[in-house]
Amino acid sequence: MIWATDLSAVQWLLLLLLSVLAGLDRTALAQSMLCRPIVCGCLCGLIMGNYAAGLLLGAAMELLWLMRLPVGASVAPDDTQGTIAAVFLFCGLSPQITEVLPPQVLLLALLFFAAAFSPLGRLIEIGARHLNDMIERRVQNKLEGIHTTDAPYSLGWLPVTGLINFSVASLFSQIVILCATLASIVCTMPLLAALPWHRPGLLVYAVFLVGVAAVYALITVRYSAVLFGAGFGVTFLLTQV
Amino acid sequence: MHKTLKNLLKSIFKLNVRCMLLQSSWNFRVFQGLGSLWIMQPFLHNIHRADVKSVPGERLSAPQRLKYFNTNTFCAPCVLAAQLALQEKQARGEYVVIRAEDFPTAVMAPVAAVGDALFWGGLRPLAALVAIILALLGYVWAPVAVLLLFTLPTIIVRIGGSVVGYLQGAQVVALIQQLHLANLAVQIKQINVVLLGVVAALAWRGVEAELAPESSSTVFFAAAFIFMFGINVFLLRRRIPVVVLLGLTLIIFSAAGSAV
Repeated sequence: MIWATDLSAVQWLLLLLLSVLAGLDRTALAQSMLCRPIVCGCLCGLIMGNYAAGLLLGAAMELLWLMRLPVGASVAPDDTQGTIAAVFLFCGLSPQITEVLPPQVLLLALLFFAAAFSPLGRLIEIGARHLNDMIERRVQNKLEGIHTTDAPYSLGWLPVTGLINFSVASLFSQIVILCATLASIVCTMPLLAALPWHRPGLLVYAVFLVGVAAVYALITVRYSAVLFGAGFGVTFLLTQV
Repeated sequence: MHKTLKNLLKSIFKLNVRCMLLQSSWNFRVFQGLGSLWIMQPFLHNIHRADVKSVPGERLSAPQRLKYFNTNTFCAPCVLAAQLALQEKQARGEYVVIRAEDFPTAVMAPVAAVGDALFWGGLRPLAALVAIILALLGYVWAPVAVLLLFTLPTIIVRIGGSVVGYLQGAQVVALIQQLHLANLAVQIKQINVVLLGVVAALAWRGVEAELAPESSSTVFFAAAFIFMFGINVFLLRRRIPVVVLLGLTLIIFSAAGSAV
């Protein structure tokens, strides 16, 4: 992690801001899609000076988790912090270990571990939501004690408390996923370096294959096989030229 | 208490800004209940204050009640604006088909069902798939597609929904029904499946490009590609975690890459 000391204070600040704002966007704020892997991955790549890697990792991660929807009480795995962690580590580690490991293999390993640890972020987010239960109890008790002739109980502090709660959860989630991914890479590095890697570029497309399957498996519409085949066939023919 | 256009726009703007923080205190007891209470508090306070002024000698009361609230976050401004309109009507002593306090409880579930299917199940995958296709085609500005195809429509729905909700009151439910949004969600999902086919074809072209010098192995990899896609879909529908399948696919493809 020597490269981490080479990052400027502005880069660290921007990374911190991205992690917190993207985390808030998926939980407490406007849900403007800053939190989507393809967006935050690119932004992280831009900050780290490798936009292309951010775009590739973001696109792959996007497909893998696209159909895990934040509907009702269900909380999706934290693909936001997972993507930021993967892009951050790839941009930092790839110039250091090119001789040991092909960049595509490092990218895939980071993608795999970040995706595997993304559910940890989900648990942290659930914890933050349980912490908000305490806010609810506090407000409930206060409101129950108010008589109709009293002045209204001001709730101005309410969103601030929630935002702080979710910000801390986002940062904590980032730290956990980042450390777990880094530790896994360090542990598996000797094995990955020892394996013969023929055509590692192929494996990047294998990730897209799994991602497409992950989305297709969960979309239930009539004639899905026909529609999928039509999309595939037309594109196949058009790109043949 | 009839609002001028300026006051109406001010209220709608304030409501929309506050709705951005609807989920900030989301919890497992009342879901978005705290957020909706916080959003509505200044409006209800103003209505009540105006009400008290008209009856001299009465003291200010606290019309605040914390209740369960859970609906689609992009449709929430519409529901809350309609509730506000009903609350104002009630304060003026006009007839309302449903009490303002009961309105969110009655409509939040159907609105959530339509909104979730349209935005989360339809529009979000559409925006993401278009961005992924653009990325695979080499367009560096691909993420902008997400903002154009998802964020922009949701902003329009938030603002438009709150205006319509305020003007129509409880009638907004009938209006939502007339829009047949559930059918639109199904159509968008069908487009998404076509786009998935496009992503798969572009990924296959990438595989072909990697294999270009040894085109004899293309048939082998085409078979592996189709086989692994089928296996993945089959296992994912049986709730096998995607990460497990990702690891399995990577192992099989790296072994195939070495063998051929």
